[in-house]
Amino acid sequence: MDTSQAVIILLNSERFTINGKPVYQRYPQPLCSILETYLFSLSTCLRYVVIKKLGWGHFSTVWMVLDRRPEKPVTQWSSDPRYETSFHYVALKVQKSAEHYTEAALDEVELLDSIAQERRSAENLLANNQFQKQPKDSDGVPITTNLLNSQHVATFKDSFFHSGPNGKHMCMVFNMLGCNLLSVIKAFSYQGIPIPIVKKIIKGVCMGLDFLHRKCKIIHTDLKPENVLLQFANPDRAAKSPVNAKADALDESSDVSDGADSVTSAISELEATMRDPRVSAPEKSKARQRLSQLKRQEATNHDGWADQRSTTMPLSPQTFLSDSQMDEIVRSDGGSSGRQSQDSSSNGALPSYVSKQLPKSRFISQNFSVQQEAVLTPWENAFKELANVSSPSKSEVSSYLDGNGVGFAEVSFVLRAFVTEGELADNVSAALGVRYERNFEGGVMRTWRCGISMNRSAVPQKASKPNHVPPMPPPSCATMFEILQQSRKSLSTSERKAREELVNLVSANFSAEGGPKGSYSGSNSTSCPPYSLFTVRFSVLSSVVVLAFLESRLPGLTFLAYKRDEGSPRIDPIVFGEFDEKICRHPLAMKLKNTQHIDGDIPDCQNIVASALIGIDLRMVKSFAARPTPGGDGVASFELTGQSMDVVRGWWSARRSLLSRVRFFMGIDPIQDLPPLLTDEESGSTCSKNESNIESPSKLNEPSEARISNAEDAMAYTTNPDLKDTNILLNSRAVIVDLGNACWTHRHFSEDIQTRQYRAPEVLIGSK
Amino acid sequence: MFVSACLSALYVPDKISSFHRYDTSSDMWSLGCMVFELLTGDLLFDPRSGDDYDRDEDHLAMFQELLGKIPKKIALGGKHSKRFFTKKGDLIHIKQLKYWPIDEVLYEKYRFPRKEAQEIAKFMLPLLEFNPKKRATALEMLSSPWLQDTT
Repeated sequence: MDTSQAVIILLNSERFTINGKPVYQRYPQPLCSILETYLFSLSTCLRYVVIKKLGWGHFSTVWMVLDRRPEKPVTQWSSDPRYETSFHYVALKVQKSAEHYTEAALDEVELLDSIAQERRSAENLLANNQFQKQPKDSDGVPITTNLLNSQHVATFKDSFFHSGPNGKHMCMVFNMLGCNLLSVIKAFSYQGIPIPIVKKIIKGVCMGLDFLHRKCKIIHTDLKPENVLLQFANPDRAAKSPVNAKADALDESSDVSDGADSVTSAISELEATMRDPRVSAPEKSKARQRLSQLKRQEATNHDGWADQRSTTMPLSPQTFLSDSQMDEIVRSDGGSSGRQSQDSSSNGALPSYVSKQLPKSRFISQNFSVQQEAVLTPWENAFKELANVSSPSKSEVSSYLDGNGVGFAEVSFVLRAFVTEGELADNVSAALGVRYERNFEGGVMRTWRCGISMNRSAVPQKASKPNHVPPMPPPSCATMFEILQQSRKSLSTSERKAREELVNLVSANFSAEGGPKGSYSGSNSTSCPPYSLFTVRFSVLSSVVVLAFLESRLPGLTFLAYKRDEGSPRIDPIVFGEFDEKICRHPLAMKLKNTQHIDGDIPDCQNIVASALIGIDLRMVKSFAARPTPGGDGVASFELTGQSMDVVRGWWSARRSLLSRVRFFMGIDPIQDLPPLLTDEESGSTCSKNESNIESPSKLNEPSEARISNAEDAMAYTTNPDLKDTNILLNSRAVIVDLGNACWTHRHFSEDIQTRQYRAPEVLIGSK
Repeated sequence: MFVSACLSALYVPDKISSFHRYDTSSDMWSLGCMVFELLTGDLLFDPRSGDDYDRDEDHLAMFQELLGKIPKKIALGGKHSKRFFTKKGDLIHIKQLKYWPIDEVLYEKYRFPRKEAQEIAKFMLPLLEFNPKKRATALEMLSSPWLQDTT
């Protein structure tokens, strides 16, 4: 199999080894979108999860992988908070399997090991000479300087063998870095990089070379722009680990100036934080991020040769209302912390029929809980207070859904139709605040296109935050989705049957009798209550946002997470049957079971668990016996009103938070674990594409300021920033990489060294 | 332990004697090429073979057009010297060399201000020293005036 077509999953090399070799698995790429590889993070035994290919050369391919078990930095030196990310991405260099490649790789590992060792010994020297004011090496260079210099050489973290079908591959794990200098040269259209940036870069390379040459006795032998990568500073990092930053600054002597200014600013922010009584609050750190961001912008504006683009920089995807963004909004809403609230039980006044039923079906107990405290979850509450709904155009929605690089999901739901489908559609329009568009494609089809934007300025700024230095920006962030209503008549007989069966099977899980498996006797005879079928299409990254929004607007609607084999009776034949794609199509539906039997083979079918989200109006459940209640206009009410809805309301208020349901469905936490948006670094057009996608919803509000959430933070890290932004470049660190051709000063591996254009005269002439 | 230490001690000098063609200083030359490339976007040396000379000889000609004549001792001291140089230390095929020093190139071709061009040239020349032993080390470059106003 061509490596480019494969996703390599590397298992924890300690727990899963055969003859001391780590075990791995390969799956064909077409099976999994990039996001789907995250499914494997389900399994605790996976250490490195491959995200994407970063590059390739003659001898190796380099992958971006997620390290699920990152090592804690041992000292302040090994981790500069400014360059750290919350996501532990590392670069994995996989050597080709032929023997001579492996030999070369072993040489490389030896060199890398000695670099790592040199770094450690310098750290030890420093630690053991605490009382000496300025410990120096034999050349009279301060040890601290050597350590700083060492940060300009690729940090080698780990190496192991990886046995694949083509043989043994040497694998080397490195810190993730940004782009190489050639791409910076290109970004400036081969017209030259501004001198201050060149100085900064060259100084970094000199520092790295000094460490390599003088301390490690290593000759790189292939120094060129392609082999110097930039590591971009995360402006918020220093603020996030202020203690580290401070330690750094204290240890830095006056003659060590690298990055001193940004540390100083970190200190001042730290001080600001100290003055504030609520240090640990997440918004505090966000605020600090904001501050540093503002500072950067300000600096750019004052900069004589700052590129025009930096001030008119397109809105980045940071305005994207992702699940994690929403989570933050809810948390900073001042109300009860969104995600914890459901765990804090308060009233036990839940109807007994709910609590009685819960133990009978795992399916039900995963979706409902007796510990619900309020009818409105914090998310729903936030929607009620802060959401603006807009109706974007068709092209806006479709370019948004197709263009964000992560794909969209489709989940269907059925609403109880006490009225005609058309009248129901009017109800939905009123509830969403968006008109539908009607078209006829094999039956009546109605489409709602919605944009939700959360207006943060609506959050009341608490008076108790006098020291809240940076005013919260008045941003909004938005997501878009689309709902389709497909008339019952346009469904094929078999699909209609499957839908009805699905409703009946779900109903049976709620019914008092639904005890032991198989007690449900099939539904060929039983019909199901009248319904109307809807499908919502949304961005994967705002799954929770969109579904929670729908639940908050459409009474009775509940998205139930279903995992294979967990129904009583089981719903599997329908959910995972012929129409599974129509019921729920979500790239993060779990496909792999966290099995203990992963042993190098491709898991067989038994190990595959699937999950789905089933959208159902609780009024569809037969045993709840919901009856229409006339609303104000005499037509059956859309709301859960009337006595006959008591049971429905009881269950409705027992819903687990949608976040926990989606978490259960995905097998990962959409807020903590969901990856950042991944964009191909080569596609320079991505940025402008995003621009047009994101702009439209935010146009509806005030011009939105970018904010950084965890995932997007990591995204900024994994995709290259605007390479013409002089400030970003000035805050980056040049790192020498690729010691694949390097050698010792006392032991050379090859006579033929250096890329032509960078070859020294003595190599050409062949000095003796 | 003792045995292996002895073995490697025997092993190392042998390696040194047969492969002592380059050293850390070779990296410094590459660095000099890189400085120019970052500043101008162009490769400092991009040799091509001609009708009666090869790429290596063109490369050596370019060196000398930019940096002056290669000292005879160095030109003739290499394993491949005879391939490129006459006994007098001139290139065999390429006779006409037009000296165009770095600061002039930066000023005339790349429109750097005269002063800036000179500063850059002053920084680059120690890196592009023909004699590897005299070439600047990374440590020395770090105290170069050109880098002093950067953090």
